[in-house]
Amino acid sequence: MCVARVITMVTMAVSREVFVRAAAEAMLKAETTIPEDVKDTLQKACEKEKPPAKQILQTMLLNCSVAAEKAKPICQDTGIPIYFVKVGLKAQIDFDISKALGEAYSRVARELPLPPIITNPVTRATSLDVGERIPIVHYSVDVNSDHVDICAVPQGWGAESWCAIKMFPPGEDMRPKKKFILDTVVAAGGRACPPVVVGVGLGGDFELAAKMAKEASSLRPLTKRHTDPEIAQLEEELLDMVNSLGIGPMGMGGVTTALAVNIETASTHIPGTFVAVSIHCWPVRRAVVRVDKSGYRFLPQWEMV
Amino acid sequence: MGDGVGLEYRLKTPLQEQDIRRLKVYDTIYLTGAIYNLPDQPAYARSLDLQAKGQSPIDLTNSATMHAPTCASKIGGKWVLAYAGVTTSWRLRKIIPDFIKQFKVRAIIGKGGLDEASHKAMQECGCVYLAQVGGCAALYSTMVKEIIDVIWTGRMPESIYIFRVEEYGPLIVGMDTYGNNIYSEVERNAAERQKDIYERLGLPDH
Repeated sequence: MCVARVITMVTMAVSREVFVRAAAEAMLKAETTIPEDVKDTLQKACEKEKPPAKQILQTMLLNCSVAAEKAKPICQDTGIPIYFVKVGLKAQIDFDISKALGEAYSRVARELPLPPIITNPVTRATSLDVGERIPIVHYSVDVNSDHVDICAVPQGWGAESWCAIKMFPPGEDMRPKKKFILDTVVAAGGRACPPVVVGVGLGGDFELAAKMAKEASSLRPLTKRHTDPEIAQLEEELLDMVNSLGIGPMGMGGVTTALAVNIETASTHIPGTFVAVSIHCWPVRRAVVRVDKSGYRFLPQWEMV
Repeated sequence: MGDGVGLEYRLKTPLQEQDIRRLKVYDTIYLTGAIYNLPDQPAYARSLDLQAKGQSPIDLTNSATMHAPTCASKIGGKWVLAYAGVTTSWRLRKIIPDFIKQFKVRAIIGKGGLDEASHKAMQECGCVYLAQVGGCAALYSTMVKEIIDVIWTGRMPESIYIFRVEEYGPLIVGMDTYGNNIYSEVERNAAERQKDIYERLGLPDH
């Protein structure tokens, strides 16, 4: 009786080793393959374009086949590692998740390998796999589940450099906010590796606006619109505006400047509204894995709670 | 400036000034020979500093150069490339004009384009901007057949990697010696369309 109970308890818990392996596999997958929704969107864009945009998009798709086949990074900027983690409160976890994710990244850094890009913000000294608050981890909880979802996002700096946030006074409608979003895309121009994904965080406080923008650009599949029809329409309208600019793939002209505009919203305070814009480069690298007591498996996309 | 369709050229290094001056924006290039890769700003600064002192360890005249952060290691006395890919040229715009003038390089391979001062130096010296597709390290690395040499080993951004390449491309001419610049043309058009959109929204532009 006593032995049986011990065995049950052991098998109920999420194994640390399995968790580390899952997180490492997710980062490896994100570095070397692109998500299916991104590939489909790039292929559709390719059909609409003329040279040189068409040739550029074809080269991007070819690069992704080569990367997957040779298990090589898609981009030399292998990125600052970000993990989105959704912890099911019914999952039994008896280890430090952030430390386990650090170990996972360290494995990828040595095996792939990755270049030493983790940089001290003051001294500018670099490290291969160790850094303060690295990997960046964003936690959320799911009250009902007994598993942990992990999304690995290697964040390149070519696109990240163009993110922006601004506070808008009350009494203004959406028009100046649309202008700010458009201005941010124009400032990035061909330098952020377009076609980009534009993530917008509308409302909340300073931190939440930025977080929503990041989730909008990094977690949401490109083909999925916001559940609120009014916001969905705003997404479509902004995508049309951005693509009418003619910046095109790599800033060399074309009708595909963005693959999607994804907006997330939150209520805010009376005196003003934050608008945060996150720019993501064309490969939109991400990979989602689910870990539970019996093992791990990849998911096609991140499930919003 | 053309309809976006150019000619295709296969060029061998060292590059000849008259060949480079013939190239036009939208032409597609495949390079065979050597590419001198200065991954980031420190390698450019060091090269210029030593050139000024007459102590440059390499001759970059008529060369094709690029700025591609590189992951490589020395295995059994030989440098082996894991992968390399171009970074955003814009960050190097302050140092590129001087680099072109001092070394008489014939091609700058990068992504996203350069500024007016860099373009002027190109026209003056006979050099073009060749756009590699960004975020495509895996593909372009397959065309690097060998690392011929690494100068100043140590921190990667301070080193110079000499790559032997075969049919390295596609590289699209983004800025030519005739004064054509795809990026500034695209930006001008985008600014016009931006103005239209803001007018439609009833907003003052900029």
